[in-house]
Formats: sequence, C-alpha cells, structure tokens
Amino acid sequence: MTATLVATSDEQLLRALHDEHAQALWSYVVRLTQGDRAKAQDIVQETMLRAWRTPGVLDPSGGSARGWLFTVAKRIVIDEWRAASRRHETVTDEVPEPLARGAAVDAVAERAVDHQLVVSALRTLSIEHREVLHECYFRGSSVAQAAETLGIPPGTVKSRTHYALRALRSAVEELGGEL
Amino acid sequence: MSVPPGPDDPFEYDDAAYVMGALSPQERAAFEAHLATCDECTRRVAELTGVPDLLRGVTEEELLGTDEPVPDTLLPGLLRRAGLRQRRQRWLTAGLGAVAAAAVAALVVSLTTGSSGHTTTNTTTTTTTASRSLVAVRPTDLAVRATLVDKKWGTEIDLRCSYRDPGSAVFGLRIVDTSGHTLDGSTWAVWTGTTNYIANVPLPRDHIARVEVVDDRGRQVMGANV
Repeated sequence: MTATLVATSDEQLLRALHDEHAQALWSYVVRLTQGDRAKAQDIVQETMLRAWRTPGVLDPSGGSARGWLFTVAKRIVIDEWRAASRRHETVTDEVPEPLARGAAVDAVAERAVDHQLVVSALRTLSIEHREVLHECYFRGSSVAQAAETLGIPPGTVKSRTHYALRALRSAVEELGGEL
Repeated sequence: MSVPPGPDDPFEYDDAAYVMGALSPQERAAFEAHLATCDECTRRVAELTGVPDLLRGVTEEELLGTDEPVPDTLLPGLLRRAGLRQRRQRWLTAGLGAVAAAAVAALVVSLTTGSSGHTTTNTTTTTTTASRSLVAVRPTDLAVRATLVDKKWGTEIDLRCSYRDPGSAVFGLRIVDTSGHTLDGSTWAVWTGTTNYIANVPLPRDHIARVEVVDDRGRQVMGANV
C-alpha cells in the first residue's frame, strides 16, 4: 500500500484546523445527521478539506474560520437531504430554473440546521449563562425565583441574563447564523 | 427629554430579563417608565430583538448538555484524504495539456450576447442585465452561465453552475475591470448538478470587462468578456 502522506506544512495546517474547530463542528454535524457518526465524520472531513483548499479561509488575518466551516458543513448536509429527496431525478445538460419542488425540503432543512446552529451557539456559553437562561426562559422563572433557585443575588441574575443573551447573539453570528 | 446614560444607571442590566418576561410586574412598570426617558436602555432592548426567539424549540438537554467528543479516527482520516487529493491534483496537472483541447471543445458553450430573459429577484432596481456562458480555459466539469445585473450599489452577478463531477469543488469569482485591474470576489462550493450562486461586486456594470471563475489555487478555469 502506498503511503499517502500529506506535505508537512499542510499536515500542520490541518492539525491546527482540527484542534481549533473539530469539536464544535463535530458536535454540530453529528446532531444534524441524527447521530450517524460515519456520515458526520465524512462531512466534517470534507468541510475541513475544503477549508484547506480554499485560499484565504485559514488566513489568520481573516478572522475565525468557524463561520465558514459551519456554513459549508450546513450546505453539504442540506445537499445530501436534497439529493435523497430527488433520487428519481436526473441531471440534465440544461441548467434548470430554481426548482420549486425542492422548496419544501429546503424549508424543513433550513429550520433544522438553524436550530442546531443555535444549539452549537448555546454550547459556547458558560454554564452560569446557560443556567440563568434555563431558569428565566425555559422554566419561566422571575428574576427573584431564579435568584433563589440558583442561590445568587437578583442583580446577578439580571447581569447574567444581560450578558448571556449578548453572548448567544455573538455566537450565532460568529457561526454564520442570522437573527 | 432623554437623559444621557450614566455609569450608575440602575436599570443597566434589566434589558434581558425584560425581554424574557422575567421582571416582576412592579419592576417591569418601572423599567418601561425608565425606557421612555433613557435612549441607552432603549437601544439595549432593541439590540436583543429576536434573541430570545432563538431559544424557541431548544430542549433542556440541548441547552444544558455537553458536546460529544470528537472520534479519534477523524484526524487520521482527514490527513489521509488530504494526501489522496494532493496526489490526484498532481496527476491532473500532469495530464492537463493532453486533455485540454478536448475538454475545451466539450465544454465551450456558445458565447451569446444581448440582454437575457432571466428573471432576477429584484427587478425594480434592475436597469440592464447581460448573460454570458463562460468559456473553459482548462479542463473542468463545471459549466457556468453568468448574468450581470446593474444595481445601485454595483453589480449583482448571478452564477448558474452546472457541475458534472460526482463530487464537489470550490471555485472563486474574479472580475477584471475596464482598466485591467483584477478583483478577487467570493468563493463558493458546487456539487453534482446545479448550484446557483449570487455574488455582489461593488463595481458599476459598465466598469466590468471580464468575469472569470478560478479554482481553489487561483487559476482561471473559465471566463467571458462582458
């Protein structure tokens, strides 16, 4: 078997890409594939290979590559769903008009990927921020009730919600999502 | 009258609890009265518009759970695939000359001129459109038809990409202006079948001389004078 080793500089680049982004990307994609880990691994690898081969994505002066990675992974996932839903169609030489029949699939797919993007954004928040959102949003607690449950002053509940929602917004934006 | 925001604004952190409905009725009334006089708090509340809505549909497990660790097969597989692609790229480059003529012949689509009948998403701001099929200058499984739409802010370039390879690839847009300067635009990915990609270029339509598609190494794959 011929060794197919990648050049050292490329290997360093790919290792760095993996070390910095694999955890977040993996968690996102494995949820999108409903736990199909073989497919998730394929999609994460493909996404990283594209980042490696696309000029500028890994340029440190260009900011975080994470939003790019999430966007590309999302497109691959949606494309696979779309391909599955159009199994009977054939590719023609003509470039067709945008297909209305794909719209329903796309709408469902977009909702699913947006939802998982929010989950990924939430996972970047500190546990303190997530707990305060859990109390005030999910359990519908008032500031006073949350303060009691969490054992912190009401003013701290307020400041944590203040920073938690802003952190969530920033995280969604960094991952390429929209509000 | 608006009161300038002070560092000791007692309502400074109330915005998030307010938009999530977590303030008591008394606190809520006080905060709303304050909002009428405080631009800074009004701005803070506006900043959070739509943010609590993001949480709709999220489950408790999703919020409080932890991420699954990355499988330790991911990185070795990534490096192996990168090696395979580099090898394939070298092979393709070596074989380029031999297949170039045939590939160009197969992929050149007629260079038509004149305004196109394509609909655009925002016809009200459209003044002129022009549509061209790009001519391949190196072997590729990609065929692209570009429609240029004049916009107030520049030019919208609608790229309708048909890709025959059973995989995927990343391409970039390059514009040559009428002075001969090149402008590298955004990159996008194509998969088997068709992909529509819209690029926005901050140049007036009549300043664009040529539209090119480049590969992930910046080499021109195809182009057309417009």
